[in-house]
Amino acid sequence: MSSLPPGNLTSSSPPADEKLLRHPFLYYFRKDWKLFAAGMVALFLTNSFDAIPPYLIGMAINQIADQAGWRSLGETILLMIAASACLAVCRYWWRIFWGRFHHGVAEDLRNRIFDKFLDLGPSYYQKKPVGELMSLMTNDVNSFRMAIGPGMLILADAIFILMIVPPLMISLSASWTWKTLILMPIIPPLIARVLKLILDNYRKQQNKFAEMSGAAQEIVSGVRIIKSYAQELNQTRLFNSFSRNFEFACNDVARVDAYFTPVMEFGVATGSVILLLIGAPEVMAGTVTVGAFFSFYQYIQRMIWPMTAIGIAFTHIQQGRASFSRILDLLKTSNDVPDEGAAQMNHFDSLEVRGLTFTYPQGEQPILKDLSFAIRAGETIGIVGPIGSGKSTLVDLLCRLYPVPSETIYYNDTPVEQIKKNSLRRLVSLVPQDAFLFSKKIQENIALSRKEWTMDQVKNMCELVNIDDEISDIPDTYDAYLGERGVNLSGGQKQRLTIARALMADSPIVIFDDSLSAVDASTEKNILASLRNRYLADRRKVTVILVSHRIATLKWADRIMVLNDGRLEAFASHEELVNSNATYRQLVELQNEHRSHA
Amino acid sequence: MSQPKEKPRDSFFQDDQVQSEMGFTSFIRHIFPYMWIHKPQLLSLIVIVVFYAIAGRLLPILFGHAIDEGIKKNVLTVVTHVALGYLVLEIIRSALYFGQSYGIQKLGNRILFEIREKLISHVQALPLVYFDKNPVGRTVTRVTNDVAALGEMFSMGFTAIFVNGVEMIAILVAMSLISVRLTLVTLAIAPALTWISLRLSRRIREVVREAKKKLATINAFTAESLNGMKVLQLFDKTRERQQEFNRHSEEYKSLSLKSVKLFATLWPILEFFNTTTITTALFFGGLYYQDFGLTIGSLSAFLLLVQSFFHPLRVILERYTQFQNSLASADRVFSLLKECPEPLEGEALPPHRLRGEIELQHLGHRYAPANPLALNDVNLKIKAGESLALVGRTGSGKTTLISLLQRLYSPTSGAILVDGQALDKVSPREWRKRVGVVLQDNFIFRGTIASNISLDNPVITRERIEWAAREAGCDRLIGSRELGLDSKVEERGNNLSVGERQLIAFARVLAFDPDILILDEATANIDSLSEQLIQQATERVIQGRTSIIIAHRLSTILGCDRIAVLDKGRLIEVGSHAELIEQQGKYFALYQSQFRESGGETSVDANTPVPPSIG
Repeated sequence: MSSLPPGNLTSSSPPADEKLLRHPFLYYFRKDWKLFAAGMVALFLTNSFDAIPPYLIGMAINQIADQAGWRSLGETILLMIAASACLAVCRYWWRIFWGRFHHGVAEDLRNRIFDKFLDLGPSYYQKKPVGELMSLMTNDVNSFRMAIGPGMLILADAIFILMIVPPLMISLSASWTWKTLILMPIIPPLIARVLKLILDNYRKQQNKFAEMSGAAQEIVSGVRIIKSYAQELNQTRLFNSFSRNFEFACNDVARVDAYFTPVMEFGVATGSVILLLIGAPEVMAGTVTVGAFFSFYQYIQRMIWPMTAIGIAFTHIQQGRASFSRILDLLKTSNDVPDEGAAQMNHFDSLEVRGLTFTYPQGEQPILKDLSFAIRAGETIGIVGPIGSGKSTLVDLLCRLYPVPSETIYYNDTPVEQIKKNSLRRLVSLVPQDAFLFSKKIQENIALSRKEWTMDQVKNMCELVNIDDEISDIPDTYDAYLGERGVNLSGGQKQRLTIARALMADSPIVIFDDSLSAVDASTEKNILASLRNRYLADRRKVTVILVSHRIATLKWADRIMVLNDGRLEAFASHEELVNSNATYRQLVELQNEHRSHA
Repeated sequence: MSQPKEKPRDSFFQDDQVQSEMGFTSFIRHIFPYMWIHKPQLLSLIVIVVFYAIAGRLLPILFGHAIDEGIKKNVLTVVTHVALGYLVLEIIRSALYFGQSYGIQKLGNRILFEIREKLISHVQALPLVYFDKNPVGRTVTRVTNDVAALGEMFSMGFTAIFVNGVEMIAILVAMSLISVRLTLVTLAIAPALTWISLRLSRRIREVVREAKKKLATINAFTAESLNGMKVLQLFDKTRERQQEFNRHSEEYKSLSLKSVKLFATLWPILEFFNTTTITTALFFGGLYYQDFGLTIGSLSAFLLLVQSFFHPLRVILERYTQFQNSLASADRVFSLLKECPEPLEGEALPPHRLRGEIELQHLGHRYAPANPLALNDVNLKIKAGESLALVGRTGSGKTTLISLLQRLYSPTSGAILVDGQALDKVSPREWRKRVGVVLQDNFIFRGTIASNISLDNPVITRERIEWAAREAGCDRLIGSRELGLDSKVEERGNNLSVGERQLIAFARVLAFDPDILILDEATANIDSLSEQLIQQATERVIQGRTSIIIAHRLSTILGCDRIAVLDKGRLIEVGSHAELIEQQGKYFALYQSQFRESGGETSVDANTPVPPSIG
């Protein structure tokens, strides 16, 4: 019986909050209501204090015109400074409150999304390209933040200014107010329209940029061929056509963008002209002072922003909603492999598959057809079959990465869906087909499956897979980082590290999904030999499942499964198969003929 | 193989923003030549910017004029004229704004196009050594994202600073025209406040950069998690990953809040600046305006001007911050342009077909000074039209040898002679046109099967493509697809098998009809039908050409005229199959271990006749 390493706690995301899903804005307002309210109050005060100076300047101009003397002028100026100081304080605080509020929202949303990512299984990732999911995390979170933060903020800002400034204007002159502001309401929809155009064009520009990047990617990746065929000029011409399309798309954005400011200032310009025409006669008649005239002129200028702001705010909020609906789609998705089982497996006796037929959730054709077999602890099993015969699907299902039809796969006579997920993970270690390593230290990558580990164990596993020497040649050895800015490993080296990582887990079942394809034949032979002589010798009951194309590898197994078009064609030892199975025999002959030389 | 690059840092997802070496003046110096090409547009834009700034200043002056000459003197016609003038001026100003904004961006986009063009042709001229050292993604980012960042800096940064600078100057001039003395008094504290704001802006810049880096970390972390999701789930690591993510997320938030705080401090300071200048103007202007020779109207105009001083200053400070951050992008773009391209000049080859006699003299190569010799003193004569099989274990120098033959690298020592002409003197581009290559895994471009055969070279006609595809045995590959030759090929040929990709590469060779052929046989599992087709294609392309083949299959080796055995970079045996078997040397051992042990059926001895079909 193999003992299992201590398990980790299961990761389980908190259930998506119903309120969040239905009314995201309200949800966050309520969640951080103190910050939200404090921000609103500070913003309102800011706008109030901000409205005072034009009034005071007008007053000062009257005092100057009336030669009121430096004392009363000084008082007005002191008032102005006081208002400005209050303004500064309030402005500081609303920025702080709002900043905390919307950055907090973004953090919460980011964590929720990431949590969901970790929860969803491979069938989700099969239909969603990584780029699309990344854009949820980057663009959509930010656009929602912009909506609930700056978007809501400038909307509130605009509303407050509209609450404060027009009454002040009316106090100066009611008839001027409606006459000068009459054209203002046209501005928000115009601004929204221009912004929509900008965004549409911007999206087009993004697409052209992506196409251009693709072209550059092709050229740089294929530079060897381009050079070999001296096709540099041709490729540059090809790239230029993409580059030019991008340029034109950028120009479209720039053109619409250039409309923005004139539209924004249109209302104010007309308002100012109207004021000059209707206001001046009244000042001449002496019914209104020059100072009031000046204040009014300034208040008209103050109206540019709220009008523009409403347009901007609506655009932000609209975008934020669109982004949130994308985020919502993700958060609403539930894992198709729920962790509902409770059974714990502390040892492994047998694995049995009974009548397993499997179709991928979004597929039409079944990949596996009525598969049945049994494996006992300690066996070494080979799996072989042409591409598309269902080998990888089978091992993925053994790990329950996809929704396994109920009561088809049994570990120790317990259906796999009744086993607690983390217990199953400790029971089975899979070395996936593509060798994926993290941008961490080599030792951390190998010890990924363990909470506690020693350097000796790591070295041991690396010796086992014949990579210890090569790691020792790297300057930082096991401390070296992997990845783009670290050590670049060859495909074979990566594969060997992923094997070491799986062995490190010390699970009773180890599955190799074509994990030695990039390793040359003699190294593969060495690895398999040390696996048998050193690893399995100490762990007699460890079960090994090997998916491979190479007969030399398969020969090593006690029994070999021949899969063909999703069916189990045969399941017997190498010798028996050579004699009885045509598919297998053909494979043997083919590989002998084209035996790799290098 | 493992090639340790730079010393690893703490976090592995750091954005590769190098600390920018480039300063503002250095940037101008670099970008200016690109701008100067478009001298007429550039100069007319400058004129528009200046007029726009002047137009903006005329508005408050008109307003003051209306107060003094109209209202104060009770002349209504002046007010009406001013109002009309105001309207006309606003319309002109809007037009100028449009011209300026659109014009600058359009010019910028053109300049960026030209920079991209220059970059992409430069990149293709770089020696392969560069690509060995730099991952594809990094180079692509230089050509696309970094140039885009450069463009943003150009339009949002550089020109915004220029436009707003001109505006500030215009405001100062207008203020001084009203009263020099009042202007001096009013702006007395400006330098001190500008200095403080600049200091603060610099601090903001640092924090913003930190935050950006952290965001890049989060993105890289997420991308990696998504790519490695299966592994994370298989090893039950999701909880740890989540905690790590939350930590990054939290750190990003606190950095963002830090920048919020700094901005929240900066604006009140600028506001205070604004209030001080206005109150100073009001107080001194109010008390002494008659001494300064001012009127109520011109004082009002002055006050309006002072208030507008705040906006351009704010924009400049804001943009200056962004500008500094994007200097790193500019630095990366221009330093890529400084990378040394491989020398492409050289002697021409005779215009007629080469005979293809190749001589290697004491050829040696190492990839980097610290690396061992990948090829060590190789001497070999390959006769015209001969086919030579290169045989040896992984790392024996076969790939190096063919790379040197393609002149993708320059040999460290020794020489290659082709028809008696020293290859290192010949223009590499000329030479490569004469050499056809089929590699193990052939790079396939996104496009169609046809475009991959012709490499979009307009000289190669449709008929030639069709012929080449037929000759290379692509019939089945093409026939099975609805659109035939025009079937779409995905990125990196993902919808093609290794065998199919190799067949396309054979067709490519046939279409280009090179004088010399280099072939690296595929080792990967290829289905038997493709195998056969490739075998036939091989026979066809090596006919009548000097061919050098890295051979993995016995049948291919047997089909070649001679076999050269490499071991640890040295050429140890050369001869025909029969000769080498007779020698009982390394080839014999290789042959024994690789071909005889597993099968039995294929045991071929020295007397196995060479298939007549090849060679």
